Amino acid sequence: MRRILPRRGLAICLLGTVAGLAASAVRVLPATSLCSAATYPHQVALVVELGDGESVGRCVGFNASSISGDEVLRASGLEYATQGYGSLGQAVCQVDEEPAAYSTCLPSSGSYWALFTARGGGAWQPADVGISSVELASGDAEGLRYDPETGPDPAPPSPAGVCAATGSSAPASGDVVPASPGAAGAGISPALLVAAVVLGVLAGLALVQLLLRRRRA
Amino acid sequence: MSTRSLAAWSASGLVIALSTSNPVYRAVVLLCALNLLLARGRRGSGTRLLLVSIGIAGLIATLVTLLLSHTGQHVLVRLPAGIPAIGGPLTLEALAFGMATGLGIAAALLAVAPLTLVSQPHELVDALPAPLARTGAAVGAALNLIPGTLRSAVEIREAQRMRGWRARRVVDWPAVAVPVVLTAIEGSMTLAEAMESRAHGTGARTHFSIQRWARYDTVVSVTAALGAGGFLALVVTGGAPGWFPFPVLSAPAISVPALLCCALLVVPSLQVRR
Repeated sequence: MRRILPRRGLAICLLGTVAGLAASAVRVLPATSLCSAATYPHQVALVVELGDGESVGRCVGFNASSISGDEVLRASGLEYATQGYGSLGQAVCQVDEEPAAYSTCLPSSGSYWALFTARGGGAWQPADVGISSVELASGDAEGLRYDPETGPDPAPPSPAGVCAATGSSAPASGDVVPASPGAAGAGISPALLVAAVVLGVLAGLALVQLLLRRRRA
Repeated sequence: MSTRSLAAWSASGLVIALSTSNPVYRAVVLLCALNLLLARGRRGSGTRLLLVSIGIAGLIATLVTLLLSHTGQHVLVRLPAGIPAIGGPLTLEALAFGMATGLGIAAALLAVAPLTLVSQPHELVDALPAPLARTGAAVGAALNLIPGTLRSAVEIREAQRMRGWRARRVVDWPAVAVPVVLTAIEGSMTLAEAMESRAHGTGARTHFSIQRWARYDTVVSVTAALGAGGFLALVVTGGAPGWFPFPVLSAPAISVPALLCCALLVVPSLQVRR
């Protein structure tokens, strides 16, 4: 319980609700969408919904097979500030001077930046780690919404159209792969498979050790 | 297997179990420790009792988190809000986090369990560096006080029941507590005299048998250190993300290099005992 309380704020910031996904589908990005990444082999869409409801879209290009969430934000050119939360990574405290000033990155009451990801053109999912720990592949999208913490809690507007290639590019694999099949796209992620094999082998070995121990007795 | 290499292994397992909130890595540490206990644990050392105790501790951690944390979107059951502390929604997210916490406790306890269940107490003291030998003996004696006192309490209670007397109320407890305290003091005096008669503290500690450092101990120590060091490096650099299920439950992210670092702890369980 002691571990829950200090992290609750971060969780609220990092994760949103899926209840608003349907609502986000009817909203469209304004004409501020910008794609400056056409020359790069991989692209990630960034959607930022500010507190006044205005949305900003950016298409960030990169050469490596994956890119971290904070690198996407940095490459977008938007002003931002983060704060570290241990092994969960960095939490977003400020984007585009919003809020203008803050004393606590994740206030117990008031608005905060909620982080979302969309894998391979899929629906927005609340991120379960900080922005620096989020790994994105080509075709993925990163969303940030300045959430007022009261009332409905929808996801950011759809990233469709922010990058021309979004939804058609094959996702690349990085070192850190989400274990959730839904989040990683179709099929079982290789990391999940490796984890299942390792755990299965260790459990089998324990069973063998137990049988040998009984036989020795 | 040398107690020092075992201590290095335990320290590595403990570091991994405590440095992450990811249940997958904790589960790997737990299974590696379980393998080690089954492969090398001494008979009659209380392995089964420890496993039961760890299971109960994990269950308590799960229940406490489930009952006291009302955060999360998937409500399993809603207790009346009038019940202090536990009233409110009990969520799937809290249950998952409680289970992950229990898994962490179990993994940490099992990581250090081989120090007492695999090696003998005198081997532990022998494994200490010479400057810490006296401290080790004092700490060992102090740690032995609690189980010794419990044993004494059971013996005294049984002796009094044999005489037809039974403590029924709180006011009857001094009849058990006083002899227990007196026995503990007497035991401490006996221990001190025994240590003095063996010339404890007059010179370097002698050994009945010397533990030899085998090549396999080097393998165990190096792989354990590599596993813990690599895992810590990945945690610091963000390569081994933690896990947090609130407010919406999600599967933990898995890093294959971090997973392999944890799996290195299985090495001491792989040696065939002759």
